[in-house]
Amino acid sequence: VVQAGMARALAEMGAPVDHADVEVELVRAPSPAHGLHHLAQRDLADLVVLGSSGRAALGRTGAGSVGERLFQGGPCAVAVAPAGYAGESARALGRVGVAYDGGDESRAAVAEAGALARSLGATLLLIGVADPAAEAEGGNDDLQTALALGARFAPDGVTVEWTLAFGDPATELARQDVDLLICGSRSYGRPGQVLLGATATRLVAVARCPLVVVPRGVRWGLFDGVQNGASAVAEEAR
Amino acid sequence: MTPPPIIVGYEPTAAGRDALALGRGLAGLTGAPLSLANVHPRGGEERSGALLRDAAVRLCGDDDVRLHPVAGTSLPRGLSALADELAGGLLVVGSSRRATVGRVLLGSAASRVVHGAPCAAAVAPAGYAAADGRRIAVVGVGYDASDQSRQALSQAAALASRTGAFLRIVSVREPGCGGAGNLGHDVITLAEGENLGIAADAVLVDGDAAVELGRQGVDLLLCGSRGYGLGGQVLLGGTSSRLLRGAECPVVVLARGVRRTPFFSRLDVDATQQERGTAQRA
Repeated sequence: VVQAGMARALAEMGAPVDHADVEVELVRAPSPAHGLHHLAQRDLADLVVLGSSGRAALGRTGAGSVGERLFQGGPCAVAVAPAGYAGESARALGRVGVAYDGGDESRAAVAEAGALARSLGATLLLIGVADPAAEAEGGNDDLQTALALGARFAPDGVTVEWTLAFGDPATELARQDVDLLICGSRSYGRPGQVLLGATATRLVAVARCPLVVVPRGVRWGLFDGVQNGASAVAEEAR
Repeated sequence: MTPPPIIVGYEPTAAGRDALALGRGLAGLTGAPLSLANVHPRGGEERSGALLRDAAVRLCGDDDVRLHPVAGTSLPRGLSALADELAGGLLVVGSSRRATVGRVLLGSAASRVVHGAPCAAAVAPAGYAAADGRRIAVVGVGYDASDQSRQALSQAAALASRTGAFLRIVSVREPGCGGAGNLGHDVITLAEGENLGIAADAVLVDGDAAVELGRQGVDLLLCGSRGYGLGGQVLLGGTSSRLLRGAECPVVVLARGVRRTPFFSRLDVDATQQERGTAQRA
């Protein structure tokens, strides 16, 4: 029954099942999240893309139960599209935003976002969010320096801009004019999976564009040059 | 052999006192050492130390507790690091301020403590500290015949065997799902086959597992992590995440896999600690 339903659903959507690059697979699993996790792991997927929960406000992201599972312990990057995204006129991904706080995880996010921006021919925007209370004491100078230097973690050939906002991180990140937002996982817990920190948890509920959360500490070995550059810059910043 | 320490995330709040009361109860039950941790921002060490000493004096009776002021801006990160440092066996937190008295409700920080915790994690219901004199006499375990629930069952049996607690195996048959495993068989295996000498019963309930598991009149409920994702950490599944939004007793979610010593079974503690020592050196 499920299989027939799925075939019908794909036909109704006009899914490009004939396209050589699209594979359709029906997975038997105890739950949708379990099945997606299994597939992503088996096929070494780079990204799992989900829609928002039926309860999400139009134009905003919001994880449903499957998203909740994959955002906590998913094996690869997880993306969620805002509610109503399919109904919007086709949007070019011309501007990719990335949350940046100078930490290792956000550097990983910049490297990932940079690679994506390059393949899309998009501009990369590094977004730092500072505490307005600390500003008066000059407490945000480090972040400003880090943002300016953070551009170096992006691959060559990508146009990089940066901005420093003040206020609540999730709110400010959601307010930026970007077509896609990328952020890192939290900095504790086992590496090699997606785990949401405080900001990302809130961002998942309020983003106004597709949001991608990249896993912690995997595959960055591939970007050795980038990583070493990152440590060097971190030293410099100190 | 001493079991790995129980680490309580303590704040001078109702939730902090609930967590402490549960941590004490579990330490008393298992003989595990008790550690009180408070995460404080830069410059807050003195206050943090003072409130921990105060808690030890006023709330811990004659118990031997270790105090850990942890520097940092994030409670979950601080507790996670401490659990690694102390090779902790169980992290204990309280419920959200918005929780109904007598019920478990994970707050946002506690949720990050539990998700990805490097060892088992326990959540106390709101108002647990006020319900004094509560002894953990009946231990429940959620069982659905999955691998994770089998591990939870064996840990619950080990706990009951060691402490003399009564074990209640709770299975829920959800509409549209298959059977609930070989319940009767499991109870017999437990009581006779492994010769653990424990008193146990099993209940099979029809309904929503997340709701039913939380209201079976037990003093503590153990459940396993979900069946997918990296091992050696707590990962909530559909049932456990909803259980932590309404259970009427303290809930312990066990870590997935066997990288760490299962908290409630002291077997192989030495072997695992050696393994951990090697991992840390590497």
